[in-house]
Amino acid sequence: MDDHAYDHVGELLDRYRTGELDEADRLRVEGHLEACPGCRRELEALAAFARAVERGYAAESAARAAELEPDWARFRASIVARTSARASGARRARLGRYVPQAALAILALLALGVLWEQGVRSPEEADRALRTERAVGGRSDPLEDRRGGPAATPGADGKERGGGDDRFADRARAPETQEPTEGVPPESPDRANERRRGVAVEDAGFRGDVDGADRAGAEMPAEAEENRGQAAAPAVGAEKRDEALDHLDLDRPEAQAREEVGKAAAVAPPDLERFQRNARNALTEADTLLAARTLAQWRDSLAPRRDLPPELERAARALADSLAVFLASRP
Amino acid sequence: MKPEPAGTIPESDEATEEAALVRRIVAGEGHRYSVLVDRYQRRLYWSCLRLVGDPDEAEDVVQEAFVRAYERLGDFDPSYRFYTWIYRIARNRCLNLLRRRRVWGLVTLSDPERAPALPSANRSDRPVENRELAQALVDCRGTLPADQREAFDLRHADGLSYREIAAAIGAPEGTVMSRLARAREKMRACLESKGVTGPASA
Repeated sequence: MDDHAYDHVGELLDRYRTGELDEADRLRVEGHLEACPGCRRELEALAAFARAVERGYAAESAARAAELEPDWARFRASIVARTSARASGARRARLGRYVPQAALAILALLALGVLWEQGVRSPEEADRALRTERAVGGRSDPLEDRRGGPAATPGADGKERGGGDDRFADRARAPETQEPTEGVPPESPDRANERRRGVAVEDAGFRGDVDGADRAGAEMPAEAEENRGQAAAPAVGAEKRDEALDHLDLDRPEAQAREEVGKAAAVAPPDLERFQRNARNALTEADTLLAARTLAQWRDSLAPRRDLPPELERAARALADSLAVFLASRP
Repeated sequence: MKPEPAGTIPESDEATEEAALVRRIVAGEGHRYSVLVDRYQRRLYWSCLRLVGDPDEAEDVVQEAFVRAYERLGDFDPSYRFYTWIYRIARNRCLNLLRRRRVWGLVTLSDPERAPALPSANRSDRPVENRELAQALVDCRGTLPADQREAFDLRHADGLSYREIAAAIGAPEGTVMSRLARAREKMRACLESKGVTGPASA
């Protein structure tokens, strides 16, 4: 078998092996195999290779099943619970109505996400960061130095710290104490952009083909692209938002998901990541009703503890707006 | 002597059966969806795990993909097996996860170090050779570029046809052929060099 023909012959043999060839090609390959001992050996080697690889995959998943696999019965039950209450193949009719809530939920999860990714990991970690700061800088409270900064939000800050639960604010700010740039968390605008792009592309991927991870970034919808970097006006007024939230029907089948979000929110911050993921999933699914509820949960349980730098607020608003445009453009 | 085609994929039979199943589900028998979930959840989970490398994220992706697929069942092309379709839905999510991670500098797409070592053999009922084979497979796969690795996984772990792989990754069959040819060549050489398979060519 010469090198030139290898690819084609290899492919033909591989497809012959699995019975994928049409009648004409199959007969051709069989005719050739009759006359070519080397080709027969190649076919046998190929088949042996495929069997060994198959065994290897099976052994890999078997060896790691206990460690990595979920409980399949529960896994299935969870999917069934999420699908059984809905009609399959049905397009959501409600989409347009809740776009502003979806946008706000994105804002919420962005806020949480940024706080989280700034290094708000665990109470232990935050405490350690504070201790380190004290030891190195000799300051009694490194956060004091941050409060008077030009980019700080004194009103919200004062309220936060006056309240009973200022640990969250401390932890949100602790990482900044190591950063010389006043009031601007490292990388946050980039992250905001990336987050926005990620959410938008995730759905866009279903409309366009994503061939290979490297090219997938090019699938970003034009509307999201246009909104990049814009700090637009808020997507919806607070009054309107509250009104909409008050009218939500909370007895609908998403109760389970809502409950989960609620639980996560109740025990946050340690579970912030999960909470954030729920919100993101809800949005990814264009399940705007659930997203709105996620927002409501967030508002009730976490918003009072929020303390965002203005840069983040702006990035979040830009994100919310482009998401709203994106969602509104969907059928 | 005429070699019999081995490992024949009952592609068309299964596609026909699934098309009928999907029709019933769309027509209102939603409870039958669990048949498809049962059939493919594990396979899809492992595929996603191989793509994203994180069990929690893979679980989430698979759950979401099944819910998403259910909602869009009307768009399902019955000439393909259901797996081809749901893989594609899950794959888009996996790629987005990877892209986010990569931009944040958390991981690179084809980082062989992401392939974790297998736990030490502790069960007597499993042949040692299989464990070695599995480890060699993990190591060798780690040397492939991501696109070739994916094609190879779909072919050999999931048993998809060339046509199905093309549909699953949204690429022409010619692309699938060249990716598979390159992946196969490297994998045969790599596994042979580790002494777990026979000579790469006749």
